[in-house]
Amino acid sequence: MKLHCDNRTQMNSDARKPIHHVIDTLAEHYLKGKVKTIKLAMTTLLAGGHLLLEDIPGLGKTTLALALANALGLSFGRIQCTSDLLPSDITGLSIYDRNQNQFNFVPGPIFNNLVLADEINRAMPKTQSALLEAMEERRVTVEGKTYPLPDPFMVIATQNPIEQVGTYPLPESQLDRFLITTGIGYPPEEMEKAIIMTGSIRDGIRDIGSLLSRDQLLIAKEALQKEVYLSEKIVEYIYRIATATRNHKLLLAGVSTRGAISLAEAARAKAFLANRDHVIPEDVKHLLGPVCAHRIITKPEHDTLDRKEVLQSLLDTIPVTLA
Amino acid sequence: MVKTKTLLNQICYLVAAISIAPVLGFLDFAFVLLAMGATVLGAWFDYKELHPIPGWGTSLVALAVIVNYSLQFSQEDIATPLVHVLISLLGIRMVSTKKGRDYLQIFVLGVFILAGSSLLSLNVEYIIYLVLMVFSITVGLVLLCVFETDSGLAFSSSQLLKLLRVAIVLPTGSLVLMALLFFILPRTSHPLWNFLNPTNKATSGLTEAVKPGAFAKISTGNQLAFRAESPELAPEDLYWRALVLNRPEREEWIRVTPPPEISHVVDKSPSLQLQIFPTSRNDKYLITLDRTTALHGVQHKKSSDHVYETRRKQSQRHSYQIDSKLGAPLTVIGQVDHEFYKALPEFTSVRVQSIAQNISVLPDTDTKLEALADFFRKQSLRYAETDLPSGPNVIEEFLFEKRQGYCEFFASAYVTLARLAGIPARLVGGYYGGEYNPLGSYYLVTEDKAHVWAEVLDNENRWHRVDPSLWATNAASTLGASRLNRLSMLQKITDSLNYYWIQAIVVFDFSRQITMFQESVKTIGSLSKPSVPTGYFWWSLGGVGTCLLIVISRHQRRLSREAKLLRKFQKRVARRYGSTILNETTGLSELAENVDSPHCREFARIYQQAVFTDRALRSTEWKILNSLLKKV
Repeated sequence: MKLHCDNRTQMNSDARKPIHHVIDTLAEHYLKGKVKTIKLAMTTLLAGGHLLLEDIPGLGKTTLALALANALGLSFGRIQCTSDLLPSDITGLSIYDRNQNQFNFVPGPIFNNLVLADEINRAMPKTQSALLEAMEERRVTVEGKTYPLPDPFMVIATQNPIEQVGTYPLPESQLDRFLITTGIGYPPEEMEKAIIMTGSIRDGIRDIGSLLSRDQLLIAKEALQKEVYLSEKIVEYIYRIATATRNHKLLLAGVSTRGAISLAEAARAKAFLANRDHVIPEDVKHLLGPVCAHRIITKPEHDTLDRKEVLQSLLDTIPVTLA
Repeated sequence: MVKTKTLLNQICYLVAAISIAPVLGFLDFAFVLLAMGATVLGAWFDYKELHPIPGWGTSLVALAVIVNYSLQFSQEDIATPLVHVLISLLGIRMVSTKKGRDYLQIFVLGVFILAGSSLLSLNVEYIIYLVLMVFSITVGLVLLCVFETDSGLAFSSSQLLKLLRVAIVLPTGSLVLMALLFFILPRTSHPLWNFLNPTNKATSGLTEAVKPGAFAKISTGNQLAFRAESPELAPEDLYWRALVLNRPEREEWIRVTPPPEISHVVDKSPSLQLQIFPTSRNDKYLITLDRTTALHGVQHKKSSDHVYETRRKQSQRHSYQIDSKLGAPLTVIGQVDHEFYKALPEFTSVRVQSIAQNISVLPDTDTKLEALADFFRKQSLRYAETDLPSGPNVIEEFLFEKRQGYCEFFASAYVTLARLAGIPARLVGGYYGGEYNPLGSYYLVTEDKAHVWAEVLDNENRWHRVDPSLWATNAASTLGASRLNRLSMLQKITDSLNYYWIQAIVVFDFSRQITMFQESVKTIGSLSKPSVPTGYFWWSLGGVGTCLLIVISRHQRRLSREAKLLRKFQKRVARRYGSTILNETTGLSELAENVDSPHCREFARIYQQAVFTDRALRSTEWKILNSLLKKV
């Protein structure tokens, strides 16, 4: 055990370097003031989950997704969701080739490492479930044939939480497929003034070269799996939090077992990003809101409550195991 | 520029000097020299910024000093060892390193020593020291606030002046208020708080004139008249004497200055000591127990008929002691002014005169008095407070018509008849009876116990007490019973509390407090002895102690090495940054961020590295963590 531990402490910092490079470059040059969201996105990517960006239009949800896609040097597909979008528009379809006298499968935008599903709540439920099924299974079955999706695979979906007309809100069961939900928020004053001065940065984003290769990302993911240790104490802490949400008087449904797994996974990714070989309670605390807020259901009479606040107040009642 | 620390140090030296100065003459010279030496040495250390004496060293010395002097505490001398302890502690504080808390301790010790010095001597210099102390400590506290916020702050001379000017306003204001509230107002004839109370009306049951036949001169209220600390006495001895009414004028008996005569109590029996706690009264007569031989504790004037008067208004704040010989006659040496004590009312009825005539023909005073008593008994008079005789010929109506009345009728009729029969007689006003409260061992006498009786002079020039009211047919049931009714337990308890309050707070006397303390210790001792054998007590105490030790050590052993280290760390953080920062829902890194300390961060990093990878701390990590712990 001791020997094993000793090896683990010899951190493979090479695996993290490119990841930090991506975060720093994006935060400093392209997406100023969005470092928190960028870090959350990277956490999602490393943990092998999907990201839902929830905010009003015009705060840079799509820009962030585009910037990530460009910087990561991964194949990128974009789906603009509308009410008439069909499942086949996402998965792809077979087209008859007259010359060869056969049907050829033309893969849809989902066959990319990074998929941006813009305004996901505008797609009708049938299409939504096709997408969400692909997200969960990481493979697509079209006309009886199953096609695996590439690795890494991450969906960045965006939605506008305020707009209600002509939308099909994602049901809780499907929201569960997203590892992290986060908002973007308005940039800080100085930053926003600078953005107003220079105009939209969409064009600049196209120039972002590939900062991270697919191989580097895979190495980092592997390092994360091997190196970051999840202590029993942290497992205990996560379990306590999950049980507390299930017994909370304001909540109808608490964090599911899948939610707890996701929290642990995300916490490990965060520890990896923080150059640690072990998860600390602060990782869990920090990620509880983004990972679990969309997984809990408040009682109807408390519908107006901010679920992140509910979780935050819950943290103040759960003691941290420190020894 | 002057640094705050320098200023604070100087104020500390001043405080030390002010507190030591008043006790200089009362302590060993060598000791005072040592204390002053410590202050000077401390000043030198401060100047050189040396810290040669470790904290545990000073604590050890302080403990030794306290133990040494606590052995010297005795009932005779509490003040001297106390002041010695305080000065030693001050000396120790002065020598050691001074930080925020230490300055505060020096100030507190200074105040305590000054207060302690008032136990040794209290002369006018004390007020000067007090004023100086108040000024320096207030300025010191203001500077201490500045020092705590930013210890490196320095003032220019103009800034310093401004600060001092503001700082001095506070003590000046408070001193003026102090003088007003504690010195001036309590000494005025109209205490400040009295505007809340209605003025004391003369509701006293004791009147300065006896006018039988006039209603409303009898008080039926049971307002407290006075308390008398005394052993329990026989009911017939409870005649509380206040004043003598010696002249009949129109229809009433009043008091005029008695003729000069020398009289004293001749009685060989040991005298009884009582302490009287009067209430606020409007009259000037001090209440004594018949017969009182001496009165101490209050300035007074003693008349020839043994009536004690005070010039001061009587209030709760004064109590006095009396020495009494129960029921002894008052012997007059030399001549008694017979004319004065035989002066008759302007009008006496023929019927009364004829009775007196029959008695006056008897040969000597004793037979006359016997006949007079017989007459009273034969008349079958009743003691009553309603349907009273009235009119111009009250005495005749009382003796022959209504045959009922209260003490004033009995006494004035008796004295009138005695004087008509040629016996010098006078009326005595006071109280009769009282409820004994065994809880506080004192008598509680209320205004409805006011009473009037008579005194007659025998052939040997001795004044005897005669209470004609006792000859009433119903005296045993009305007079006796109403005078001696028992208090309920609750009344006893509440009145005892009131009494102790007056004793301990209102009439404060230090030596008395010590006696009270000793008595209560004795009482407690005598209570617990028979019920709990001493051996048992010590054995059970030992048992409980051992159990506690076992529980604590078990608990300690169950804690891992890491947990103990963590606890130490948390204690240090709490001491450094306040205990509110600690919270069991806060992680270590979060804590380190909250206090923003690099040492804490490093501690958290190394500690978590081990704990959250589920392994024990290595010896190198252990060392590093321990060294970090000291830096926190």
